[in-house]
Amino acid sequence: MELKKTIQQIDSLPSPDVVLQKIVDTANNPSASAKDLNEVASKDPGFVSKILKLANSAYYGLPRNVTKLTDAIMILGFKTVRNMAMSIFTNKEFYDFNSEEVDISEFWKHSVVVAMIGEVTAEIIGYSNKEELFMCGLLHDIGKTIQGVLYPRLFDAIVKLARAKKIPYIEAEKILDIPTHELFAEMLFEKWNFPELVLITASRHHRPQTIRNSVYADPINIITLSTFIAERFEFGDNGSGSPIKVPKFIWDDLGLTPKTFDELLSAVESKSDKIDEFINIQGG
Amino acid sequence: MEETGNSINRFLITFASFSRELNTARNRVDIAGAIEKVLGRFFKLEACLSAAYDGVKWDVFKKDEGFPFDEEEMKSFYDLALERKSPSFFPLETNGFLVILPAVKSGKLLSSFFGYIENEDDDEFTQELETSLGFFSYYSGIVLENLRLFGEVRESARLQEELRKYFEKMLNSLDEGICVLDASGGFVFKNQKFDELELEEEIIEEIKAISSETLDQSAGQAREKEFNQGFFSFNSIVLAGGGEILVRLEDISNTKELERMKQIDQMKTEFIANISHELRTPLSAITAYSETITESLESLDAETLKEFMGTILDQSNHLTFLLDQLLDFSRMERKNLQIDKSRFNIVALIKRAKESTRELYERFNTKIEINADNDEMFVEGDEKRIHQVLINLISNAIKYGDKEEEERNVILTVAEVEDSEEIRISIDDNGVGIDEENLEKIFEKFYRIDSSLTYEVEGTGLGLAICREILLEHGKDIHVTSKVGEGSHFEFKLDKAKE
Repeated sequence: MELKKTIQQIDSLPSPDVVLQKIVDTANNPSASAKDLNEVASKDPGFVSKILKLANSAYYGLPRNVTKLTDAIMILGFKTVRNMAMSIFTNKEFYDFNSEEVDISEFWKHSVVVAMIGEVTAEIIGYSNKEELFMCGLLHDIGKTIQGVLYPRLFDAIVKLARAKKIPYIEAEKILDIPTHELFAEMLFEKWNFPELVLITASRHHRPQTIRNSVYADPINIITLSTFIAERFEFGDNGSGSPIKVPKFIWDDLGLTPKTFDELLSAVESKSDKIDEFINIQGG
Repeated sequence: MEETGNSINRFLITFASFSRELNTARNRVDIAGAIEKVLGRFFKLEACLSAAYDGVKWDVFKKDEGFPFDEEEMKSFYDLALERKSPSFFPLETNGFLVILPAVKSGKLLSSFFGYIENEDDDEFTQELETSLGFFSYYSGIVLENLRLFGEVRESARLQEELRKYFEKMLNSLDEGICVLDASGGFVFKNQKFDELELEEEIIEEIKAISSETLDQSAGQAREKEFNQGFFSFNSIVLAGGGEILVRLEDISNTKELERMKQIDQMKTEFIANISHELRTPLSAITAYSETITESLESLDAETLKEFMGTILDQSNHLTFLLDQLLDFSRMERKNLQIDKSRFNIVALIKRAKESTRELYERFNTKIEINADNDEMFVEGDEKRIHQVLINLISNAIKYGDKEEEERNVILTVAEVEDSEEIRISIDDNGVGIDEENLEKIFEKFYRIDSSLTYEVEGTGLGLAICREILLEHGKDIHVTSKVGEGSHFEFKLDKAKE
């Protein structure tokens, strides 16, 4: 497969719409107020109603229903609202292709679960920027969806090989000698001019050792570990034939002990019961 | 929207203030106060509540009057904090907000701060504030957890201290002095009794010596020893783990004194039995001979009569000797032994003393030899008393001779002590000797080596005690060395008479 051709194909992928772009920008601006975020989101009433539906879902466990977006922002925070908007957009634009090998809703579930595990892991190990981890988890496999959207048969071929040889998805990509989903993600987020954190975790989560000494070491380690947990416990389906291997240094670098890992798994288990609304995010 | 640069500045300033507040926080109330202070710079907080809730019981540790919710109503808000583990501004149905700031550590909710804000102002709630509060949430959790751990450590230190005091109280209640020494002989521990004993240096040295022996031999030591300060018993053990030695010591002077008095009492009883026997023997002889003479005076020839009368005289003299000794002893007890000093020739006195014991040395077939530098050596002293001493020592030397020995010898030596104004008198024999155990005791009153009532050797058991007392009154002492089976050596010194 020619890289040049691939890049041209990427251009045909959807860009984030104006409202989502503004939501992301506003949520990343320290000076933005709840009123500001409410204003930009309100341009798309469909978006707002879907966000409110998620906000009222079991996942967030609010004591009463919220009916206004400002209330949702006040209660859940800017970044969580942004994450919900990003989930709605990604699901609609990227998890809508045909596959004979993978159930797309299970494929989507995998991303949501990795997002959730990322956030829970951040909590357990005391990494304070947990909402960013949700977004990184949500978008870490965007490269695979690009393959699915652009070349559905190629996607199926990779999955089929991985399953037959009982190897991780990325190993099958290497055997087939095609650009990896990490590369597709990198190209997409560069094109979208997305935050570097999201780009790095999506394009390096199979190679955490390459940025072990960078500022992104913690997030990439968390996402790699979260992917492993989701695969190992079969939360959703990411098209892999076997779970990835977690490099030994990740446990040490994150300060994970058998006890904290056990706590992490319990927290993940109780949260995974509450992600139904996220799976069925478009409603109806 | 403001400029980003300004915002970062504002965030850093707020965070710096919060960390300063936490820096002096000593407990969770202080932390709640710090949160209240920092949040109060963004909003007008009407009333605050800080609490932990385990699903059953509330633990409210800071609550302002006028906080609008009761505990029942707060449950759902606490659940939200538990679920989200992130700060939240909850719009109230009435008016205003409840700001929720959970203290989170390792995914666990430790407690939560709740602040009631009456007037809403959307503009104040910025992304920057959300980020800041997120940090506050984590940092207050870490500080809280650390304070809790610190409290645990302090509590365990307190318990240890209590335990230490308890054991110390036990050790201090003991009547024994207890101390622990390290391998280098330094004191690691002393109980109260040990300090109270105010031990003299010699005893401290003894303790160190015992400790070092205990360490060398890896075995506990036990001994009793007399010091100026009293009689002490020592017991040592190696403390578990090695390297340190515990020594117990007790002043057993009273016990020892009691033992000694009991022994003296015993000796007195024996003495009375002994002295009765000693007095009866000559008396029986006198009575028997007197009766014979009275009844058979006509049939006795002059020779026999003279022999009988001689025996009566000898026995009377012996009786006098015994009574004199008893009298001396009685005086000695009353500290009333009179010394009447004069200048006399000691060599001549020794010769006289030898003559006085003629009957005895002939009976025991003992050879008495006198070695003197000169025939005339004048000393200062009570001639009569020194005579008594000499007779005693010579008699003993003869009486305690060795039956197995072919030739029984007693050697009396008089010599000037070099570089001194004294003359040494020594009595050597080749008799049975005295074992080490008895060597010091022989000068004790009533003491006889064969204290069992066998009467193998006659005597009151007072002789040597009187000898020593006489010499002590002269400002001198008597010394003995001996070897069992080889013989004994007694010696004392007297001042040379001034010219």
